[in-house]
Amino acid sequence: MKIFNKYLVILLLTITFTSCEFDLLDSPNEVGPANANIDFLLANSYLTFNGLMTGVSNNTMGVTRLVTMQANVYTADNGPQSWDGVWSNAYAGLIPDLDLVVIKAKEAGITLPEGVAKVLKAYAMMTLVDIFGDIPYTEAFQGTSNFGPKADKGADIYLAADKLLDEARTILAAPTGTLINDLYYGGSAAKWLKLANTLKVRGLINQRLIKPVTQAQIDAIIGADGAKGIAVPADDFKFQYGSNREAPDARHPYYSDGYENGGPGWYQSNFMMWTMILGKGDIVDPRVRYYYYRQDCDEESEDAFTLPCIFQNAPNHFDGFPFCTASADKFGDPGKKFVGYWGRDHGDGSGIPPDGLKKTAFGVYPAGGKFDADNCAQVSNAGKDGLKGVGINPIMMSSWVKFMLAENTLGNGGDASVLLEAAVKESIKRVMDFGAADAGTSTLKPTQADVDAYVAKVKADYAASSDKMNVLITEYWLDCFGNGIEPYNFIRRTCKPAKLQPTLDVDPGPFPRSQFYPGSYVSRNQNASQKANQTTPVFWDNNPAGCVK
Amino acid sequence: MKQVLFSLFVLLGSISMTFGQMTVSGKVTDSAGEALIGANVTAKGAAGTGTITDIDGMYSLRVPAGTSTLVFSYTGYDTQEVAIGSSNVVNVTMAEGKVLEEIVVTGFGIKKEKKALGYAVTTISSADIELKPEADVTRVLRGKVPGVNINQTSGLAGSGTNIIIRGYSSISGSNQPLFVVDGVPFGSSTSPDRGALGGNAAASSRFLDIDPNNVAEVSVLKGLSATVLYGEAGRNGVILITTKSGTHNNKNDKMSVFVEQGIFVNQIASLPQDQDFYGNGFDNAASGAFSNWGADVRKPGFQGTNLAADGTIKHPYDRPAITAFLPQYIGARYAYKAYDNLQGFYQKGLISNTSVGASARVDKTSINFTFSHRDEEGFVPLSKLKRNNLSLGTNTTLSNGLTLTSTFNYVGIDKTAPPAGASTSSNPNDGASLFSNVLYVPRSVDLNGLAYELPNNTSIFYRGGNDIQHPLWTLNNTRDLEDVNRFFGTIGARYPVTDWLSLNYRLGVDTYSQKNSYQINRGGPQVPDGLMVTSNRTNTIMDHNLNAQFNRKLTENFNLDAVLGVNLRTDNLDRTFAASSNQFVYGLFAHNNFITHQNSSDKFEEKLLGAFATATLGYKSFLYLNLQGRNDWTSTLEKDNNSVFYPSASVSFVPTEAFTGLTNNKVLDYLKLRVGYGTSAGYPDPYRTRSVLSTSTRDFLTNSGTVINTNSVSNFFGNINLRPEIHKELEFGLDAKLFKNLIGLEVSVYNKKSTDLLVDLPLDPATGYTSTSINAANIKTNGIELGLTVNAIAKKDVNLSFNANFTTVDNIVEELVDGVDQISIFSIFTTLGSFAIAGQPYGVIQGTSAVRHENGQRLVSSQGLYASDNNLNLLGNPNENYTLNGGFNFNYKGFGLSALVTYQDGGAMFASLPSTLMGRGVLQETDFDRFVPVIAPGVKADGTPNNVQTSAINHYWQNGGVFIDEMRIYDATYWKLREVGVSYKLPSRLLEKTPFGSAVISLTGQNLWFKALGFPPGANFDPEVSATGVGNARGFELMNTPTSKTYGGTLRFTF
Repeated sequence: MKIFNKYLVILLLTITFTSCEFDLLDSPNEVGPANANIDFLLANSYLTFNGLMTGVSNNTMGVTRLVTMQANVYTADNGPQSWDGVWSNAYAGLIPDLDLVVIKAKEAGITLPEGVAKVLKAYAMMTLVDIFGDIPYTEAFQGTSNFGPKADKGADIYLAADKLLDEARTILAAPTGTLINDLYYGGSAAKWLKLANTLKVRGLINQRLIKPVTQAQIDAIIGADGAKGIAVPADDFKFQYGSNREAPDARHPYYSDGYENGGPGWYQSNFMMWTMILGKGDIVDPRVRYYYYRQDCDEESEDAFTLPCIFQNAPNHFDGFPFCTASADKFGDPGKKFVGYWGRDHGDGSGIPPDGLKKTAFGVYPAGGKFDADNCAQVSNAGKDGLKGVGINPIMMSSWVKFMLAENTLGNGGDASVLLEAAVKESIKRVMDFGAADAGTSTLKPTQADVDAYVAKVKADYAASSDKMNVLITEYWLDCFGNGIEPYNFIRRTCKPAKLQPTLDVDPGPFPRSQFYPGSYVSRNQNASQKANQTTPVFWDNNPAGCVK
Repeated sequence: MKQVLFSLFVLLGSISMTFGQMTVSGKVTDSAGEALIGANVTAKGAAGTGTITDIDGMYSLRVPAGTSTLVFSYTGYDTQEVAIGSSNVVNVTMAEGKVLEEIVVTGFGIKKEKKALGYAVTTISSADIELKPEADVTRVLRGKVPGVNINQTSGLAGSGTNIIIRGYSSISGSNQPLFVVDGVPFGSSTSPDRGALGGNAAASSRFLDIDPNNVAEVSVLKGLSATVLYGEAGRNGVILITTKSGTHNNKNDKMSVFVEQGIFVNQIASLPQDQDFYGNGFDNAASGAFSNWGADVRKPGFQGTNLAADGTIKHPYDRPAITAFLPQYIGARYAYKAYDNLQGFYQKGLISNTSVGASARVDKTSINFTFSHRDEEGFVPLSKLKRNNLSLGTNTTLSNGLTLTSTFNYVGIDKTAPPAGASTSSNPNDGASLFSNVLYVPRSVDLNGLAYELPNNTSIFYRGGNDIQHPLWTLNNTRDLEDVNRFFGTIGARYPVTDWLSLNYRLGVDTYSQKNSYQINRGGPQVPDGLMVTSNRTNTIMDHNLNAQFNRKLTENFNLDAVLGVNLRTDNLDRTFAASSNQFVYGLFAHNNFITHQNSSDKFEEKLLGAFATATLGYKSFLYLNLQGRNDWTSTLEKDNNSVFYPSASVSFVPTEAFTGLTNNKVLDYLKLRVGYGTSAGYPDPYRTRSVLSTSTRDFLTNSGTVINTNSVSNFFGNINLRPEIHKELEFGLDAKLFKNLIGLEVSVYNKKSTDLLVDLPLDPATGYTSTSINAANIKTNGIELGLTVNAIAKKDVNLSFNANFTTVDNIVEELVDGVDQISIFSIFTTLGSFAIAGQPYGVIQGTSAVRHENGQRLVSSQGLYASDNNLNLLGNPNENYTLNGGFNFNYKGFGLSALVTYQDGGAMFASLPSTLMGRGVLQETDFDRFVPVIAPGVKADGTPNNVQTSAINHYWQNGGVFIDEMRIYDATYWKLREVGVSYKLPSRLLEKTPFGSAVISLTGQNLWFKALGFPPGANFDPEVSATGVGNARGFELMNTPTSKTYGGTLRFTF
């Protein structure tokens, strides 16, 4: 047995020798959490926040008729899975980074990054409440120690967000430290403070139906002249895209989609285009050639395969609305003043014919594409056209703030005409200024007279209308092209615009007053259960059922 | 570490012992005069004195003075007692016993009598493996091993193969078995560069590197009591492969040489039967649709169909984008009729397989050499596989008894595959695909006759928007290349300290570099700017194994057979990726000819140390108790959790040997009962316990040119408390031979419990993370395996035997960790995939269903259509109920005939191809009057039966399956004629005057016929494919690649 004793000794020795080489637990492919850097974390947060707001817009522009809703019925528009990206972007992508920024900033003894982080966190949480209603907050962000964070009341999250905004406002009024590569405001604490103030006002106005907001309350935050909030285009909170085509594709996603190959995937909203070209009689919206680019100006000679509806009759419930395209003479455009405004009707979920190189594309604003100078040519040219994708994601613009304030004024029984006029002018100027780089000297650019005529028409309509809110909100809606969440909110707040194009299906089910919870939340969180339907309003919406269709 | 082991070896090797007083020697042969190797020779009345015969049948035994009788025993032969004469030389001729007992290779290559085993082992000899058309040794095993499910991913040359032994027991970990070649672990992973949607099923599994013609024997260890010595790597079963170069039982001293040449035809197995009367279009009118719901070719000139009275339509290339380059199409007309598309698109590929080998033995040194070259063409011209295998094995015994063995193998593989991205009904979902648009090409589109490119090399096809890539353009402009250089080899030493104790050391090295290059020229709509992605993997396994083997008769009745050892395995994987997009000059594939580049690299290192012991105590020759245990230490878990011990115990009892009375009848010849209990563990992949900071560079480039790099909190939550998963299995078995060997029966029944299963758990992002690794599930597996042999005729010149095997596995997810309802095993889309759900079979398919009325029936809309509910619903269980294989072998003199048939019962499959062919109006099943409206089964919103008519086209297209996952689920029950073989061995008298020792001609066909009962007959669908590649998901077909059938012959000569 001596031999075996030797064996055992040597065996044990072997084990000891090798055990000490076993330190292979840290990945050689990644760095440790201790390397986290405030500016790099914020850089990611800027991009993630833009991704979040883009995802929100993509899912809300259909239901609000800014683009075509390609689902026959409302329940099919945004299924639970279609919200997974937004949910993940906000909860796992954005907020843990922002929370770490706050910790790191405190360690470093500077406050400016903390202020920015709190503004973005508040904005993200309020946005999620606006979409879903009650969602996790106090039990969230705890990793595996809580697999199933329970939902808090939307109103409580609004309160928490308001508190975050107040903390941020205190910091941003007298910040320490600097920001490197601030993708929104170039490191200006003053502008971040304006955004924080504006968001506080926006939060109040969102709740105005359940808690009326006085002008004094607003003035206390942004000043009587509004100048402490986002008041001029220079203060606009928007994400500026670049022109790099690949690695990374830094262009506006609408541009990357439509201006590369095979044509755009998006269908433009026939109703929105029709509203711009024919909704005000002879007055054409000056922004239409900036928003839209027509690839094919002869939609009525298409075959039944490419554009089947051109051979069909409008359903009875479409009386008074465009059908098939915005400029088809049989329906929306009997005088045949316009051609080629080829989108889809609300709720047209039919299959995709070979119309990619023909249907109307996103134009120069906000996608960074082409100004429509009656070229009528396809835009899928490997990313060579127009502004090459140097577009913007409009998130909170100065004209929208004016519309919002106007809405509150009108809601309180006041006169909103001054704010309305200022907002419309500011909107048109912003769009035309942005598009000037591609519109150049085109003779088809709207003239000052065209703009003035449009503004005058809005003013006259407002003055004459018994439904002034409808006039106001319709203009607000036209201004929000490229952003879905503001229209989704104000449509639910005001039940306006009053006459939106119906769905092709006579019975599309109720308009979603809040959205289904994301699949990843419902299926992975034991304390979450899916809503029975989309009719439950969020906490600030007390409008009657069916006020929006 | 190596030095430690080496010095240990030297130290122990220097020990020698002698005892005894008298030496008897001699040779043991069988009745034909062939030496018997390993026969037991013991001295009667002197317990513990014994030896075994060597490779030449020779033995030499020191016995105590006064010993008068030696006992000779050998499995399968009658035991003899022979008196020692005066010369001290005893030569014995053994007579074959009435029951042939098998010797099988078990853990660590130790050969044991099968009757001593308390667990199931299936051994397949070279005769069942060699001379087949398949390049992949595991595919040759299909249908031959009960309990083993071997599923090819596709019929593409060199595509991966999924092997599952006794069901799935891990959720996020691998369920693939361990490959051990010539005693050392063999890297057998499948390493795709792309996901399932990008066509990972085309990636090869690295056991493709083994040449089936160089395989001497395959043993499949199925249960945990059989595999425990291999540690966690053996938890999914072990496939032990002994190569011919690693075998050293040469019977004679002369040199022998063999030459084989095989030629086979490789063709697509499943071409659908299409209807010939309706062409491209929609709503009964000819147009450039994806679909085939167009005009009736028998009704030219019919109003509203776009089909002219002369049977032509406007030429699909008469459109400005094409006529600008090719003006001949202006005003051209095109014959609208059914074209022979598929027959012309696929080819009959040739497979050529050449092997030469030589073996020789000089004194106590033997050497084996084989070389083989394989050249395989696929059933599309783009698919090719070349393989060179070179191997050398040596074995020498020195005069001091030290035996040195070594094997050296080189493999070179050169594979070209087409891109095989997935499709759910039209263009590939991700990247490029040769197959996605081929099978549903509308009947009136001449796939092989329409020009495929413009002068500027841009793909053109019939669609107006040019949004389908011409498959011929794909053939000429895309490549998925794989280039493998692999070395694997062993060196080993064995030193017999005494005749009952030996020391063994073996070092195995297996290293390969796999280079992949995915190449797409610019100009096709799938990847318009072109692409070149290269990857380089270097995978190295070093395996040290040091053990002492003990085999001694303790008393007259007790024998102890034991192994004690230590094993160190190191795995290293280095990967480098380079992705270049936007090709500069058409046609050149070099990274520098691309405008945009992205690179990445990573590496993984893992160590596993194991100490193990096994002991079998035998009582007489009918009762065996085996105890085994292994303790592993892994480098992938934190210190508190990195050690795990797993024991095993088994008993084998042979009543027919214990009670001789049992065999005194005409019924029972042999009976063995066994019971085994085994355990194993599973470890996570490296780097799962600690959180990291995600970093990313060049995330964004601002308009002013600033590059934005980022940090972020990783979405993966590192779990410091991760533990090994534990598997436990209880197995019962029975082996019997009945009616004078007419019937042989083997039965195994097992119950396996897998607990604390490692799961890559997707988290609700509200936790702040999207995934973690966690011990989160339990799985219970029950199974039955039956093997039956009927030796119907067993005469000198005529042999006929039937064999059948039956496998059933019941794989149930018992429970999931609190707070988790379901775990995604594999996700195709967020709304479609394989899941682990408590109480459900492993891997159930979930996807979207048609919206139901509250009464449970499908709800039909006012347009007569179903709607998809967008939710995850349980759609089916992809696991079959059972599999039955049956075959026969017939031999008459030198002539042989064999066949193998497989039947799989049940198993759900999500299949894109048949549902697409049906939904697009291509299949012969859609040859009906398309103007007659249809009423979809279901109810209206008020619950009354639907009576709303819709057009047949709407019904087949919208309701028929392309839009609702539920409609694409089929029952995968099938029959298959897996293999047919004919062979003829030339009589030796014909060869007398030739240099040949033997000559054999064999003809083989594989996958010659199949019938999937649950699919539309016209689809002629072979469900034996997997779109998800090698992994844990089952039951998905996404128009990647169909299967192939192969047939041909081999000539084999020996000299």
